[in-house]
This record gives sequence, C-alpha cells and structure tokens, in this order.
Amino acid sequence: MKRTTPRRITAALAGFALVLAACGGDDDSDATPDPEPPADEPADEPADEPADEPADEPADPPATDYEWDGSYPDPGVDDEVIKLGTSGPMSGPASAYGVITSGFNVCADYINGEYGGIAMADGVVRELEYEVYDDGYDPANTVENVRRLNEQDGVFFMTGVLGTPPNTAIIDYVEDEEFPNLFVSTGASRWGRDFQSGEYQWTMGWQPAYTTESAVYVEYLEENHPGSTVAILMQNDDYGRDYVDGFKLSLEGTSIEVIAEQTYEVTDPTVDQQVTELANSGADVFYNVTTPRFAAQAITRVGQLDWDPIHLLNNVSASVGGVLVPAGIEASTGILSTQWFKDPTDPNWDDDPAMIEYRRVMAEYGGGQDPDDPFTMFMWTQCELIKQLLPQTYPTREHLMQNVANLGALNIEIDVLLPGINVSTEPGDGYPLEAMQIVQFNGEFFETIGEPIIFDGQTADMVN
Amino acid sequence: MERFIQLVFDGIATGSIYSLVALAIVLIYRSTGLKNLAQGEMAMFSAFVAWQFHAWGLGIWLAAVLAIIASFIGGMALQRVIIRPVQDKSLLTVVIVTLGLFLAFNSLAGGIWGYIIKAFPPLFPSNVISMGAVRVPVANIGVFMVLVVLAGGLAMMFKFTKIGLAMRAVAYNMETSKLVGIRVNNVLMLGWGLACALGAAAGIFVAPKLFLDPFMMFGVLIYAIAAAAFGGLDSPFGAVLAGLIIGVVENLAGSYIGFIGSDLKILVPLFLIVVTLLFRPQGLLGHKYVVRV
Amino acid sequence: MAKKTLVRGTPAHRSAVLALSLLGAVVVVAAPFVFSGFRTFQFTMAMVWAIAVLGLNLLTGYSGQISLGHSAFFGIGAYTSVILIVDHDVPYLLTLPVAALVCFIAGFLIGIPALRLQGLYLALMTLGFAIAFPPLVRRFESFTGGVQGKSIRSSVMAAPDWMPLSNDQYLYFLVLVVVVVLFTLARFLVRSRVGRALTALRDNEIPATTMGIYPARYKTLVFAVSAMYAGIAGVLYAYVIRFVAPTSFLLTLAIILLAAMVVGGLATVAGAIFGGIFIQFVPFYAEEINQGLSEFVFGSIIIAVMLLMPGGFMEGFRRIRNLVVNVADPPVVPPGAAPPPSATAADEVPATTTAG
Repeated sequence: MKRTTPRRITAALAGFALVLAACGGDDDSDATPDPEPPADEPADEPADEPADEPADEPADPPATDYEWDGSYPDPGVDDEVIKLGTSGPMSGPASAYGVITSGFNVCADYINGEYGGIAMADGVVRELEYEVYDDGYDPANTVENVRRLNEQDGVFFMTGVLGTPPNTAIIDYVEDEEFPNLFVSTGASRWGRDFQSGEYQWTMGWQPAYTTESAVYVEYLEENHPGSTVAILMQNDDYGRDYVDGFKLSLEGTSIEVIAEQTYEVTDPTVDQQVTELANSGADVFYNVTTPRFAAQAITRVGQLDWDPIHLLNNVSASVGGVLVPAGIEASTGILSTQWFKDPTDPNWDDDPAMIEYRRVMAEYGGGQDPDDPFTMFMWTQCELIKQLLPQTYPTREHLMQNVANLGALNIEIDVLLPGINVSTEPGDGYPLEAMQIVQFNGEFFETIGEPIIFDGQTADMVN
Repeated sequence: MERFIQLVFDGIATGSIYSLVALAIVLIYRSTGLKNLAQGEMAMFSAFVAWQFHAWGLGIWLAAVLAIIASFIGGMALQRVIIRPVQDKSLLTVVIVTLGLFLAFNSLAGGIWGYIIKAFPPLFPSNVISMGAVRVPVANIGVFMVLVVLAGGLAMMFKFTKIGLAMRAVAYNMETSKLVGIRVNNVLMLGWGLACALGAAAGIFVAPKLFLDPFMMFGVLIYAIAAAAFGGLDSPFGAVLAGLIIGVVENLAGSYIGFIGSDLKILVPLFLIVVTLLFRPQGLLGHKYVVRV
Repeated sequence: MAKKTLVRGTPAHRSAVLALSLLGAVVVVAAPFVFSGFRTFQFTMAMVWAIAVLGLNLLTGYSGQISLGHSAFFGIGAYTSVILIVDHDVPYLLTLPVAALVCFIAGFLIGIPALRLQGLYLALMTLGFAIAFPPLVRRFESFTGGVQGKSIRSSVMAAPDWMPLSNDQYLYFLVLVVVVVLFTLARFLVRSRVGRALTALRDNEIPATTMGIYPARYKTLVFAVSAMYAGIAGVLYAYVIRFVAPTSFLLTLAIILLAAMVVGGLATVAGAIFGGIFIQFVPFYAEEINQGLSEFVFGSIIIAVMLLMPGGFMEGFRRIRNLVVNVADPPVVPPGAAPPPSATAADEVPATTTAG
C-alpha cells in the first residue's frame, strides 16, 4: 500500500549545458568525444539502416570509446531481439500505479510498430520484447518475478520496477547477478546514493528523489513565506517517511518550523481526525504527504474546517483528474505542488509537439491506457529514455551500465520533461533527475510558478 | 473544548460509516447465520454501479435506487448460485467462499472502472454548519440520519414482520425451521438480497466522503466487523452503538493519548472490544443463548 | 474394471503406502536437480507456506479456533531471525530455534484470552493483532529497521563450501528437513492424547469438559504451537527472501493462509502441503490467465474449489484415489483390543505430489 511512486521530477534543463561544462574534465568517459548529433534519433529511420550497416560496423559511435567485439556475453539480446522486463503492482492496493508497469507493453508495441524495433549502437535493429509481471506490491513476489525474469526469461535488463520495498528486496540479488535494474519507479533517495558511492552498481533510480521534492518546497517557502509554521500529514510508511525526513533535513538552518505532524495507515477509512488536529495547530502551511484517496479526503476536509493554510500537495497525488477534481475544484484551487514532466491536462501543452506525439501514440497503441493519467506520462518518460539510450549502447550489459552512469554525456533529450529539467548522471552523481518545478492549481490545471528549482549533484547531501 | 467537540463529531461521522456496513453484516448474520467477508467489497461494487448509472445520465437519487434494486437481485442470485451449494458444509467453507467473492469483486471493479479515485456525486448538500470553531458538514448529519432510519427499520422488520421472524428462526436452527414449514431456501435468499441492498445503501452513502475506488471499503470492513462483534452480532442497535463508540474512542485516543498517536489508534477500540467481550461475550446488546448439551 | 479393496493395516495396504512414499521421497529429493534454480526456489517457498498453513490447521482444524493473526506470528519469526542475523551476527541456523521459542511464548500469551473467547471473538482479537503488527514494527524503528525493512546479504545464506549444492538447492533441502520434522511432529501431536482432547473440545466442548478435559490448558497450548509453526515458517521465509518489511506481513497474508488451509483440507496434516502449493502457484498461474484480473481469477478458483470439493484438495485427492482402489477401514476392533496401526494412505501419499 504504499505508494511509492511517481513523482515528477526533473533535472534542469538549463542544466544540460551547465552540466556538460561543469563536469567535463573530470572523467574519462564524458571527456571523450562529444555526444554525436547523429545519434540523436537513430530510431527514426531504422528500416534502411540495417541494410547498409552490418552489425560489426557501427556508424554512430556512441559517446564513449567502448569497443564491442560482436559477441553477446549477456542474455536477452541477439541479432533479432532485445528482451526487457519489469515487475509492479497490477493487483492489490497499489494497483493505481499498475499503469506504469503495464505501460511497458504499450512502449514495446509502439517502438516495434513504428520503427520495427530499436537500432542499437551497432546499427542493427532489434525488436523489443517486454515481460511484464504483477507483484501486488509484495516484496516476496517481486523477488520471485525478478528471478523469473533473470533465470527463466533471460532478459537483458529491467526497467521501472515499482516501489521502494520491492526494489529494496531485490537490490542484493541484482547486484550478485549483475542484472541491471534500471530507472526504478520509486523516489527513495537511496538508489542514487548507493549508486554513486559504489555500494550498489546495478540499480539506478529515475524520478527526482522524494527528498529533492521536499527540498524544493523548503526553498520555495523560505523565499516566499519566511518564518512560516508547517503542519504535516503523512502516510506511515517508507514513502511518507522519506518525504518527511528529507523535509526536516532541508529545514535545518532555515526560518521554517514544523509544529504539527500526523500520520495515517492505509487501512484508515478517513483522515478526518488527523486533519482536525493539524488545523488545530493553526499552522501557516499544510504539507500533504498522502496518496490519492487520502489526498482528496484531506483537501475536502481542509475546505470544511476553519483553516486556510498554504497547501503543499506531494507530487504523488498531483493529479488533476485523479485527485483535485474529485476533491472539489473550489477546495483544490490554489494548491501548490511540484512537477517534472508536462502535465497532460494542462491546455498550455495542447500544441506542444511532444504532447501531440504522446497523445497520438497512446491513441494508437495505448490499448485503454488513459493519457491524462500522470502515471501513464510517467511511464512514457521511461519509454522515451530507453528509446534514446539504447541507440547509443552496444548490446552488452557492460556498455549499458557505462552509459547509465554517464547519462549526462549522452545525447538524451526527453521532450515531455518540463523546460529546464534534464536527465544527467555522471561519476559522483547517481541521480538522473534532480530538479522540479513548483506549480499551482488554478482551477483547471497546474500553472508553473517561477523557474524549476535545481539541485543538480546535491541530492545525496539531502540524505541522512 | 472546541477541539474535543470537533473530534467527537468527527468520530460520530466516521463511526456512522462503520455502523452502516456493520448493519449489513448483522443483517446477513441474523437472517442466515453467516458472516460475509465480501460485504464491504459488494457495497463498493454497488456504489460503482450507482456511479455508472449516474455517469450514463440518470439523477443521482434514481441511480442510487436502481443500484440498490440491482444489488438486491444480485444478492439473491449469488446466494442461489454460489452460497446454496455450500451452505450445509462447515462454516469455514462458507467463509472462505465469501473470501473468494471478496477478491473477485475487488479485482472486477478495478478491471471495469480502474483504480483512479472517482468523486461520487453528493446526496446531501455540501455546506458546512459552523458552531464557533466546530464545523459539521451537512453530509455527515445526513449519513447519520440514514443510519438511524436503516437500523430502526431493520430492528422493526426482525421484531414485527413475519418474514423477520422467519429469518431469525432459520438463522437459529435451519432443521427445525423446515419442520415448522418455513421455506428455508427462500428465506436465505431473501436475507442475502436484503443484506446486499443494505450494503449498497451503505456504499452509496459513504462514497462521497471516502471517494470511490476499489479499495474504498478495505479499511472500513475491518472496523465494521469489529463493530458488529462488539455490539452483539444479532443486534442492529448494538452494531450502530458499537460503530459510533469505536469512531469516537479512536479519535479521542489518537489525539489525547500521546503514546498512541494516530498510527496506533486502531488498537484502542480493539482493546476496548476484547475487554468488553471478556466480561460480556455476547457483545454489548447481543442476546445470550443457552446451550443445551 | 475390477477395483481392489485395500483394508487399512493389512500387508497389502502397508506395501502400497510404502511404495508410494518411497516414490514420493525420490521425486522430492530429485526435484531440485531436475528443475531450474527458479523452480527450486518456488518449491522452497511452497514448503515455507505449507508449514504456516499446517500451524494454522493445528489450531483451526483440530481445535476449531480461528486465528487471523498468523501473519503477525509469521512476521515475528521472520523479524527475530533477521534482527539476530544482521544486528547480532548470530549464525542463521541458530535463529530458528530462538524465533520458534519467541513465537511459542507470544502465541501462549495471546492464547490466554482464548480461555474465555470463542470462535468469532478470538478471530476478532487475533485480527487486531494482525492489524497492529505493521504499525508496531514501524514504531520501533531502531530495533526493526522501521519502514525501510531489513535485508540479509546473500553471502550470509550461501550453501556451505563442502556441499556440492547451489544456494537454491541448499535452501530447498534445508527447508525440506524442517518440513519433514514439523509434519512428523504434527502427526504425532494430533494422534496423541492432546490431539484427541482437542478434537473432543472442538466437536463439543461441554461434554468434553465434563469428561475431565480441561479446555484452557489445551487451547492455550495448541495456540502456542500453532504460532510457533507460523514463526518457523517466517524464519525460513527470511532465509529464502532475505528481506523483511512491514508491508510483507499484512492482514492479507493471514487471510490467504486461512484460505489455503481450507482449500487444502481442514483437519488434515497432508492438506497443508496442498495449501502451500496453492499459495505459491495458483496466483502465479492466475496471472497467466489474465494479468489485470488475476485476483478475480484467484478468487474464482477459491470459490470453484469450495463448490466442487467442499472438503478441499484432500477430498479431491481421496476421490481420485477411490477411482483406482477402495480403501476401507478394518473391521471395528472391540474395546480393549490393540489399536489399529496408524498409517493411512490419505496422509502419506500427498508427498508424491509435492514436487509434481
């Protein structure tokens, strides 16, 4: 029952250039040749490529000087196919996140349907196969699924395995097996920290850490409402704890103070008592760290009580259709949250080419996935990442992980991310996305407020 | 003081929700002698049906009535097809069948309507009454009134109607009831139908507050079972009283007892229940049966 | 075709049982060498669940008390083991008896109210225990690791060097040994004076009491033993999964154990094996049928089993056996004569199906 989820995050855009400039020099792989522009969209015209580019003569040298000897040391990839896999909750109380997991089928259908597969760095187009398994958010099931993916199905790597406890349960296994568990769908801060410290080299995060999001709020409050007092409602589990710990850590040295805290269990029917208590504290700010149903209840409840705080709603529940509209437009208007990808319900993006393309693909391949659901967009960011990462990667896990550790040196531009938010990892920085944008609900959609707040390279310092 | 009053009102509001579902549990127990684990999920499913009727353009009250009727029929069908074949087997067998129903209804609702929460159209005005700093939403009062009416109606049915009497007889002893000419199977079927209709009403009235999704009743069911047992499984008023007590006590304990806090507040009513049952095993208002050997 | 009738206790019956048991033993021992590491892991987990189901069956099947709190005992066992291994460097095998003892005591304490509470009310109290367990684990974070859970490094659980086994095979045999010991113990228990007393209490408490059976002692004892079984299963779970978190031991686990017990066969020791297989494999294949509706499929299977075989898989098993051969009880032995030999075909044969 936790929701570990998808939040939005980001890395700053402006950051891209900045990152390249800032870190260029300190390391062998990203100091090498600059990202090749041709690698840009290699998947676009795959059909003719294989013909003139035999497997052993890559035309687009990737950003590193990796040399592939033409053999396949790892399972899950050959001249024809790349097999990928994932595990997530498609049953049980965390099922709302299941669209991320099942969405990888859409991703594979789309890439195969549109491009016939993915042309990897050797120029050979390989069809994408996705094995998608349900774990019901039970870590024991995740262990079983991941062993199945590795030992029975022999997949090349996993993407987007969902949830903090499930990923914690498999982190040792994937390490022992040298089985890449990439871009996990959880905002726990440990993935990036453990990656950059070298403790766990085979698990890589994706979305901005929950701690990053908390730091973004603190920075916003310090700037706009110095000296304010905060009341926190939090789900009593790993996800809630990560948010709140990160928040308190970021508060150190600021003028902001937490004066009330309440928790709830996912089995609690309502959070009325908790919100009543928080309102009773008279805090200036309400930090709402809850999953969608409880978020909607809390929003409605605040509207009923004699309390009018600055309302910060965590990104997990920043869904217009899934939380704010059900909770009531009137009560929801003015709520602040954070985002890192473009909100599909925001009409400002209606003419955005990336959004048009997203909607077209979902209509064509989505098979019932709701394009307005932020979790669908979340999956889409991961799909885009894979689509751009693999063409710059030779078919070995060694090169894959080398690239994953140096995303900043590759040519990756995910255009559904908010302007100013970029993808980057490099030695000493294991967090791909480290910036978020403050947004405010205006009654119809989330409006951006100011510029993205960027913590590039600093996420690890926000962790205990 | 205002904090105290507010918490009590909130407790009564949450307690009304527990009581509504507990009533359905009591109804099915009293009319068929069974405990139905799927009661909460069936109520959730009925609420979805009402939501669907409304989404198709019907007024919300009409949609609610249609969903309640559909649930009545559906409940009788379930009893006929799934429960009747095992009703003579061990009690646990039947309970496990209802567990199967629990999983099936939950998953089916998710498959049909998805897992994103839905706003259920309010059945009562959405304004809030202020008494000083104490705020009481009109909807909470509405739910409480519905609860009182249903509990009263149920108690009268059992006490004063022929069918109510037949239900009690069947639940108490099926064999003897057959001998005195009661059509046992029809009575059981009717009991299920009524319980499902009542559950549907419960689901529909609490959905605006809880927000509709397949897990809406998950937590409620636990409290409702506790309330039903606490109040005495065979007493509608006992269930109502117990549900309200649980709602109020857990709120007060969560707020006033520091060590308990909101994470452990559920333990307080459970502790209270156990202590009560140690001294009054038949529950608050339940009947004591003399066992003959 | 002419069906033979086997009378229990006759040489013919005994040889049939012996032959099937031997066959079963061979299959069980050979399985991890025939199947992949992943399958072996699944069989191991099925055995872990079977132990927990057996524990519950001792309580519910033989004494008629319903517990919804076994997820908590399972969790206490798992947590005890992991905390000892990770924080106190205790050799993992030693944590098994320690955790068993802890759960026995916990079960005993919880079992005391069982003196007064019956049926549904005991279920209610244990329900509270199951619900309280995860928040309590989170509350005492410094001790339990809180919300983040705790994991055991794989190197700790590796097969000893002198064994020519992979880690999966090693764990399989380790769990198998525990299964054999605990199932033997359970059979012994239900046939002992204690077991007969429990059954008498379950079937009719008041007359049993008048015959001198003291309910409190037996009920508390069986509750403690049942909790111990669940706790041992929890320890083995920790060995195999190597990760514990509050989310792993929810009320749903207790409910699934209860369902598996009934589906396997109430009041049968061997039925627990079916129960374990059920928990491990039915959801696995339900997902193959329809991913989005896997729980619908799972729920429907539970209902179907109950409708077709209200006595659970053990009933189905007996029906199949009866297609081949009739097994009859020996003629009634007059009071005072020697008791009939104990083995019954029904209890022995399921071992064959374990590795299936």
